[in-house]
Amino acid sequence: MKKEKNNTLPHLNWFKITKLHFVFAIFFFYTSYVFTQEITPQNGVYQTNHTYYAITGATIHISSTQIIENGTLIFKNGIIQKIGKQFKLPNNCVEIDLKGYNIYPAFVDVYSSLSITKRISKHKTPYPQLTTLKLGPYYWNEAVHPETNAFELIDPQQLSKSTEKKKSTKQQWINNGFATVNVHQNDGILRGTSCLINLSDQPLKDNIIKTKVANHYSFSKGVSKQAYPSSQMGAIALIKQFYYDLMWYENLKHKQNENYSFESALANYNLPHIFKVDDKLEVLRVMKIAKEFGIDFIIKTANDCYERINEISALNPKLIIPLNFPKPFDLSDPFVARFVTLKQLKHWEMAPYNPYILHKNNVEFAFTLDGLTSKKDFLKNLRKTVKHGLPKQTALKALTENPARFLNVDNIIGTLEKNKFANFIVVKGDLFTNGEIYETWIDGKPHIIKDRHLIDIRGTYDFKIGEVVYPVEIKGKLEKPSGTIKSYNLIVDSLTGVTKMDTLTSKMSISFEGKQGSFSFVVNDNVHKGVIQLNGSFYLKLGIFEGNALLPNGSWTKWNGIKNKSFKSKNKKESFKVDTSAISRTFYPNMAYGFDSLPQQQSFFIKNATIWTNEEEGIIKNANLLITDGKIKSVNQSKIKLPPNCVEIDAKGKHLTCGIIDEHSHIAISKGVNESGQAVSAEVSIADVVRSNDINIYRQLSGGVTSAQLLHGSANPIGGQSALIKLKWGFSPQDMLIKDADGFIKFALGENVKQSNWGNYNRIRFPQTRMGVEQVFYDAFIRAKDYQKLWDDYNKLSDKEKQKTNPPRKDLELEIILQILKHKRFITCHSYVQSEINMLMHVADSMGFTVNTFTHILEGYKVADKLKRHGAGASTFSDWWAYKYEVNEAIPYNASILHKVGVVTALNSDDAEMGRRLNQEAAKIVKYGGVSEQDAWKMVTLNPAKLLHLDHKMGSIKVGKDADIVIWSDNPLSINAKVEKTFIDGILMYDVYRNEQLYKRDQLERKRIIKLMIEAKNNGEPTKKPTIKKEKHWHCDTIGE
Amino acid sequence: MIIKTLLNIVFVLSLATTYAQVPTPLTQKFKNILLLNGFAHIGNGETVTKSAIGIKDGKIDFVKNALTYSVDKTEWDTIIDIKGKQVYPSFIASNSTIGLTEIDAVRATNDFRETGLINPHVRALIAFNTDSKVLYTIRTNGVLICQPTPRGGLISGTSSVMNMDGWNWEDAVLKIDDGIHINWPSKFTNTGWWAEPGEIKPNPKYKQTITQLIEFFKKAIAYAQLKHPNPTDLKLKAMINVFKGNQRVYFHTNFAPEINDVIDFSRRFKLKYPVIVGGYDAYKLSERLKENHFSVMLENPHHLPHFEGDLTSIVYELPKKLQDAGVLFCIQNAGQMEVMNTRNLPFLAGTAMAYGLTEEQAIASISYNAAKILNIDDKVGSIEKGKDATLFVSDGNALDMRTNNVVLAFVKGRFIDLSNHQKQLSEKYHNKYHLK
Repeated sequence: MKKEKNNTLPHLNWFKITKLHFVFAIFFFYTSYVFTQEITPQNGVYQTNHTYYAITGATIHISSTQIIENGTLIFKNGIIQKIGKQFKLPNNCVEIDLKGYNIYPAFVDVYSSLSITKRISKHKTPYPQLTTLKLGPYYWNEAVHPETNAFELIDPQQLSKSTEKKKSTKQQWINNGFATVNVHQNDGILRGTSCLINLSDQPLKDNIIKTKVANHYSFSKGVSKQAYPSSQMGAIALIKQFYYDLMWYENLKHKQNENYSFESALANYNLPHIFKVDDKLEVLRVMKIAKEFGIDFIIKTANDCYERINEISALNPKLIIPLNFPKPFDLSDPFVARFVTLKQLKHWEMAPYNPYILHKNNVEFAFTLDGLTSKKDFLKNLRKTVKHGLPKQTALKALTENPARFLNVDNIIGTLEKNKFANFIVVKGDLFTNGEIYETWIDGKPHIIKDRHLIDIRGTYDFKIGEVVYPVEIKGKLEKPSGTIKSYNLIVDSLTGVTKMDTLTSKMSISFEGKQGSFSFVVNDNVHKGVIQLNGSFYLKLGIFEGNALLPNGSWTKWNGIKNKSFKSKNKKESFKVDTSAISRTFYPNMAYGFDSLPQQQSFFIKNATIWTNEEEGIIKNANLLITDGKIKSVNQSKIKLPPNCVEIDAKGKHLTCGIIDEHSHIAISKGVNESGQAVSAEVSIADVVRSNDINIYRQLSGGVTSAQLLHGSANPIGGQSALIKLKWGFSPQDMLIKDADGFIKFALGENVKQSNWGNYNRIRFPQTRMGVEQVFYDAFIRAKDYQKLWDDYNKLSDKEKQKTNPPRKDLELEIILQILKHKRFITCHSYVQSEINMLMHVADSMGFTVNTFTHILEGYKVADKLKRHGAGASTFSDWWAYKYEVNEAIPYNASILHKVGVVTALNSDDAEMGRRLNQEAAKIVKYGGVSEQDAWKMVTLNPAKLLHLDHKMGSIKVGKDADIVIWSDNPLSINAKVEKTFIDGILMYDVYRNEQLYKRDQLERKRIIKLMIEAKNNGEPTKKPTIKKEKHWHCDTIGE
Repeated sequence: MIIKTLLNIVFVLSLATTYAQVPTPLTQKFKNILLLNGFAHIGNGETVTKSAIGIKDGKIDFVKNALTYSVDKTEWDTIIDIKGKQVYPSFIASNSTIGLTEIDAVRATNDFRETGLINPHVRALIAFNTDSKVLYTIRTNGVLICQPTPRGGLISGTSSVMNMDGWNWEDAVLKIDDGIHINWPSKFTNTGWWAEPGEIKPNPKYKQTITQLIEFFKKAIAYAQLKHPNPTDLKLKAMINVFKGNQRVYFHTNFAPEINDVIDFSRRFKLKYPVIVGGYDAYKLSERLKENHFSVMLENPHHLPHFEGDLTSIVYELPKKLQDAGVLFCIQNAGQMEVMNTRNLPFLAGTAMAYGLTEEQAIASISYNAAKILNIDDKVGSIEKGKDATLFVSDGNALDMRTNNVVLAFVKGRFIDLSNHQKQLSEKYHNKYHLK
């Protein structure tokens, strides 16, 4: 025993303690160790602490499911000893009568950075920082620091006691009923461990319950100025790579160097993992990582999960959600009101339902105080969720049991049971409707928020001072009463003998503490003229003050005040109604033009159309088309038996084509299209960050686009993996990805990758010239080959040899590059001038693969013969040039020359605006170079399908292909052509008439919600001025600062 | 050297294009030119199906019906039969930086943004580069007149209107210093960062900036009263013609709250020729704009809607809305890569046609209307007697990508060279690969 009393050993023991032993542990710590066997030498005599405290008479909510009326709770040294109905109290027991009060377990904030010192970056220059500045045995990336421990970063000042002069930060938690907080440094991607603290006024050492309680994560690199990662997909790749590195490190047979980041991550691996994200799509992204690594993430997110509740609840996550809800907007100016999107309006209405919807879908969650700008709104917002359907039990659970269980500390906090902390709150009334928190007890010590013992002296009195009686009225707030006193001056007119009375009503200054009241005021009557000061004792049961008065003339006398009427509060009781009527108002996606419910596949029979087949048949006039089960069933068949429920469409005078495929697009991407932090970033993938609620998806549908390759940008020679999507508006990111599509990756050449236009400071990252770009490629491919050899050699080893040999490290970047060498992944390369195009083909030839597509390729016409020989395709702009030096010799005849030479040529947008009129871009190739209309049309349909290896199911009107169909008002290449209908997989995704209806519906929906906002405003809710969320439109060149 | 034959168009083309590697302003050899049998789009909404257009000394002498007009061959040194083709007045690229920049990303070539907030004295005129390579790729699509315009600041500077053919700016200029440009501040400003644009919040400096502008205008009016200002104030001097002459004041702004303030501002200073440039919301305030004699240079219709909930096609439909409201407007194409994109100006009008304008209204939106707004309609903008013969002939409908094929073009009655380096490169590589 004696040995265990040094400073570190008990901590170690703590972590080894299993649940079964926990009772013993509590006993050990709190009874024998902390109090009776004090380690720290004391100045003065030792204080014992054997006193029991008993709460009696209260309604005790032991947990969210168990309530004891008139219960008793006994605790000692901050630990609950016994709880139940009335029973005999121990002898040395202080009894606290809480009859009429509710006792709830105190709340646990599972996500906070209260009292934690902020991280700072050492980087001070405007030049890019390529490597970490945290030198030593740490991970290479400054945003990954699992070795950070919150318990070492606590600023005790912020946890110190509130005094009259200073309000401590922690008081905001205590006022809202929180006793325990899980704090971490909220900075970086792997943020390190959090620590569990009680918020009592004891010394910090006694308040820290657990030094390491959970691991924390986010997608944001925080203050790190290290260039990588610069995007969300980069952060995702970094987390994955870290975990592969960690597994590798763990399996090393002999370690040459110890790495403290890995050591810490391994040591803490069994703690819970908490991941902070910003929205519902990011929740889905975390769940993908969770699946890959078998980590059970607890996800801290926003109140928008209801928008993707089916996808989220299917994954059965644990969530942490804030209790903050959007404020209503002040929309009095109709022009300014437009700045508020329907998305924002709908979110204002729906966000308070989010907890209820999660509950209904059996998603477990905890509430946090984090994210509330005004912490005073906490209880108000908690009640809002109850008003919006959340059962009180679930609400209590989300504040107590769930956070405790999420953190694996439900054996010490979360409910009021024996051997748990005496952390509870004293509430008058119902916490979830209109109750008030009077006290928060932490570790067995009270923190007074409202004085339970406060005596209400308010009412009307007769103050008898000497022989004079004054009517007095005391009103105002209970804690700070105010009052008035009346004095009467009788004046007898000496001439007429008529008596006149002057009344003086003067304010009293009142102070009342304990049972002693003092008053001072001015009177003017026949006896006293001037200031009277009173002191008196209050006898509550009688309602009488009695004491001494100092009169205006300086003499003392006795006085008393007798209450004749009690004070009646004018506060109306707010009606508390639960209303869940609006929960089915979510659109897919939840914004303008969203569908009321997801559209379904249907059978369509389209007749009398001019069909551009892109096949041998060419253009067929007066033709019909049958779509069933998402596929083209028949093309211009004469005798057709229509399936049941088939929708017939007469397309007389209209043109019908397959959907446009945009080979190069940057729409529908979250938080960064470029991972520009490194020259090679093959490990990142756009598929990880598809954003299904980008309005541009809908806008492209209105231009007849049905599929797109979402490309990484062109900020580095080897960019990231593409996402091939169908523009299925309303569907989830996962459902938009084209199944079984080949993998593609973005490469880039020229000015962007050598950072020519990035200002004066970006002259550090290799390469800065076209010469360097070539070497980046050779280096990457040679490294990939070496990597393969490393694994091959290792895999050849016998099991016995493997036992002694360090395994190779899994490298996500090189694995992707290897796929290229193995013809399993295909390059789309951003390119402009002929020299570098030629170069990449040489690199590819020497490495034994073919460059699939050169994109932009505005000087492709200069090397068209070489492209053809190499077997590369081209995806270009119709007529762009002059925006950079390298496009000085770009010509609009490029596409036609490439086409005439026999290169598969496509036209792409690289631009959300142009993406919706790619038909016009195709028409320009008729003008520039005289390509036939049908061949020009293929440049935005069949040819991109070929380049994306999707021509077996898209790109032409052929039986068996996907029913991705567009009906045009005119020849699609005509300036007059407008899209009337767009189908994807046999689903009508866009219809020009329905578009008008959706627009009108949106206007009515806006009006409906604005009316609700005005009501909320009139009910006293604070409003905010309109602000709009600006959408980011990406191009290849969009880069970080 | 006078040729009194009926020239076919190929021959004229060869005269016009084979002079040199670099397109060169051609020396005028022909004084009296007759264009016969083309479908004439006058520009003001009228058409002549089979036209006879007489050009003498650089001016349009007449536009007649070819069916009733009898040709006197002695009167013409050149007669060109353009049967089956279409004649248009020059399209006009208003609010442009043509000639003020060559390559967007190369700072050394950028001459449109001066430092400082109030710069009415800086003039686009003298920076206009008649030898810009971009210029030659634009006029081949029918755009022969432009309004080089300074950018940036609060008062960006003074624009001029130029013919896109000439040895130097003095030679090319059509209207010197046509107006000053004001970047009306936005009531809202951006927050957030590049990967995560934040909310747009009320601009705290809006009021202050407008006050600054008002103070400057007050001073300028006072200065304009002086007969012999001493000392000379260049900035104030540059404003004199706004108050004394016909100079336009171009207010660059899009949204109704700002447009309302612009109208109030214009009323306060009794501006004679105020113009809204941008004007996304102009149709919502059309009555007020008309009452206060505003005209509008509409934002590029190939632009995404400014509000997420707006109809996707709203930008395409704005020209029709202004046409119906009776507001004088033209279409311009300022925006990303605006200079090289100017060659698509005809297709912007084409899109407006697809979304409601008649063909002739669409043509007027980039010719006649633009000329009126720029105060050059006495010289150009339509094919009418007495105006400069600045016009072009296209194989087919010039507003449609497939048929816009300019085979002949004149600036002030002079043939212009329709070659450009892009055509030459195309030819070079067609030859290399033996293509047709």
